[in-house]
Amino acid sequence: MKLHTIDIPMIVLPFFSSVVSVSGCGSGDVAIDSLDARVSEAISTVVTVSWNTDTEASGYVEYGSADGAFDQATPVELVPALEHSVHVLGLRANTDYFMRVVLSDEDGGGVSETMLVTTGGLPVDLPTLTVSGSGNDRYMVLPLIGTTTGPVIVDPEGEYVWYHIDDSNLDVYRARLSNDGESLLYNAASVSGDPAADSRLVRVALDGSWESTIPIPLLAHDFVELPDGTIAAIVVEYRDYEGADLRGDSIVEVAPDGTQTTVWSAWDCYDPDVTGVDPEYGWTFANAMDYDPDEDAYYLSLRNFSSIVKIDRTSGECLWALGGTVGTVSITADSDIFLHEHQFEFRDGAVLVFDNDGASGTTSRVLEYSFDEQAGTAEQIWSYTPDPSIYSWVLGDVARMENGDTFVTWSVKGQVERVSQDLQVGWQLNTDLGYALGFDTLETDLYK
Amino acid sequence: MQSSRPRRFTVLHSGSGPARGMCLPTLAGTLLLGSLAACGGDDVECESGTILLQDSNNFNYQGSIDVPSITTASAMDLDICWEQLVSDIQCHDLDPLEDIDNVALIRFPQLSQEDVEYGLSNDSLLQADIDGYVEYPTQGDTCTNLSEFTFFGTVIDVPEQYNEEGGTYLLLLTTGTEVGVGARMLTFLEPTSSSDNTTVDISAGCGVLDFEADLHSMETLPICTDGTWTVDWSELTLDGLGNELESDNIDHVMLGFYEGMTVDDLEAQFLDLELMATTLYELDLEGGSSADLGQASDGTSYFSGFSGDGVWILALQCSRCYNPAPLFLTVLEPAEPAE
Repeated sequence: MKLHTIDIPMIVLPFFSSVVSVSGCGSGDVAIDSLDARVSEAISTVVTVSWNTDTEASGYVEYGSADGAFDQATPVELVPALEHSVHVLGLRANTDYFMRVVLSDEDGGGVSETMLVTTGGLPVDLPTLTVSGSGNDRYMVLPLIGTTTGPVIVDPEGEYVWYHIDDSNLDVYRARLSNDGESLLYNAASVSGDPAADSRLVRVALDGSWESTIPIPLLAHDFVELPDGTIAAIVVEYRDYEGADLRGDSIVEVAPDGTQTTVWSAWDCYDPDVTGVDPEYGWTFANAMDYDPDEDAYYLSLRNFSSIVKIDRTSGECLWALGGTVGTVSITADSDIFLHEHQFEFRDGAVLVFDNDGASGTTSRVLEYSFDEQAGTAEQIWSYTPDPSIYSWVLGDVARMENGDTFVTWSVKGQVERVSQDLQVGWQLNTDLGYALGFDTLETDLYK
Repeated sequence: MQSSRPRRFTVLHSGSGPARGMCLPTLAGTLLLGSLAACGGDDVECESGTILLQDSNNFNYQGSIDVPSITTASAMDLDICWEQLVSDIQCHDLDPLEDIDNVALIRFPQLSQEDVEYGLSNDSLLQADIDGYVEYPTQGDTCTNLSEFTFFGTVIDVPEQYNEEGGTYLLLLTTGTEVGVGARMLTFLEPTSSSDNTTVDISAGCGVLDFEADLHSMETLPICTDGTWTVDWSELTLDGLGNELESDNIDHVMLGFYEGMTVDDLEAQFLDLELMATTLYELDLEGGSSADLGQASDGTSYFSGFSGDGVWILALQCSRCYNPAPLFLTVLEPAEPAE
């Protein structure tokens, strides 16, 4: 096996970079030419492999950190082409990787020569992550909020594999890989005090080579991307109430062509005369959202109501609400009740809720209810309160794994835990002092 | 939500550019370190080009942070003043009116004062260690009340959040308002139910930091007086404390010349290395594991070569770490390249 290695050491450039180029190789019927592997100058843990073929072909990149152990691979290219370029993701900093191009079986299954690529170092602005325990198998797409703010991707062992530092002086609360697999989306906003007039959704190429923004004034905590690429975001909506602006919320959709449409307003579902108004936080204070493609419905957490409401996307009708001021679902009397919740997750006839304030004292917790949507009933079936207690007075996230474990993000504490059904913490991640976390988007695979 | 990351090394420049044409190596290097380096490269081969730094080149230090503590009444508003804060934790002069821009109160619910001091010394505090943060942008004041502290516009509820059961409270006074940068003074507040003291006067910071730096035990680094110098720390494994080196934290290179001084002089005034330097060349980094010293600047010109009668040091620093000591520091021994 022929090995090509060319290292360009960093001197004053921001990141160490490595470039490998090979011409004229491949062992199949289709010739692979101009093979090149290049560490991104913007994100030192992303490598772009490019190559040409003499006939239209589809291929992918195999790679691993030990020669001969190509235990990871990018997806096969969907469209046969002569010129190919693939981003290799999930790589750690300052690490050697062996990479090669493999053509699909339909194209003869040819294999290129092996390249050794060394990723660069991390920017010094990123906080150290401390991990204990084992058993995690998820990537985390996490906003860092602190001295350095921006979205990062952390691998299951707690190592950075992607980063982008946001210099807007806004906070970042949610980051998601885009459906098309080409970029990462995040919101840059402010939810502490008045919302920001210059808030925006930001899209960053996975190799960091480009960035685009969608200005949306008064963005709040969360957004989702729908299957067709439409982005729906929570946006603060002020209306006059008793002679003064009162802070309500809306859902604004951004279509793939950029058109922005308000598809729901709290003002159309609820009445402040009936619900009352929080003198400190305004009226509804929506802070988390989800989308159900099967029912074309949004789920929205309204902090000040301590309610999670289901909204028909087409009509904007509020179908029902779980908990709190506007609750229509009957929760059994012996269940604990959540207060000022943030993230939640509906799944398999149950719902998980990150309960910021429902427990006595300064304690946050996770509650799980069985949930019968047709009957409109819910009953608590599980809860988790860490010992010693943790208080996350803002943000916080929960997600259930297939094996029953629960991912809990104690945002203010900069701590993520994977907790078993019997309340054992098997894996934990912590940030340095000075760094909180936004909502946690979990991924089993970084390739879409 | 966030806590602070004291502190950025104060960067000051003094003196003029290095004198030229002097015979090297330095007197200090020769007499105090027993080096055999000499002009003309008789016995020691100097290094240029890419220079691999080794753990054996690193200095040793023992450091502690002894934060003063003030006992106060519990669950009561406090009068907090810093007009007596005329020096910072590095014993550098400070103008309390001009230099203190923000005062923050951080609560550690589970840690003792000793735990917090240890965490500050070793840069091992986690965000999970705190459960409260409020601040007061001074805007020219030198006194305020605890009840004036806020977090993003939310006012502190003093009885609820400042009391004997709340844990350890650390008051942090900073230059600048960026969270985690520019710490000048630290003081514990200790709410105690038996106390009726509602006055907090922050005193001068001399003595908070206690460092003993050993600049003699390391292997000094022979370096050629002329040429190019790319220092590479990829093989370093330990910092000066002997802890595992977090090399990703290195974000600043300092190359200092101390004309007419000895290594003993530097040891004695270790916290003043930036202030004492005759010439200080500096380079901010964004990452990586090497740096071209030719890119380091004294503010007017780039570093171009070693000369002068005195001591040269090279330091790799972490501006965002709590412990202000460099992660790596070595004494350089400039020598003429062998012919």
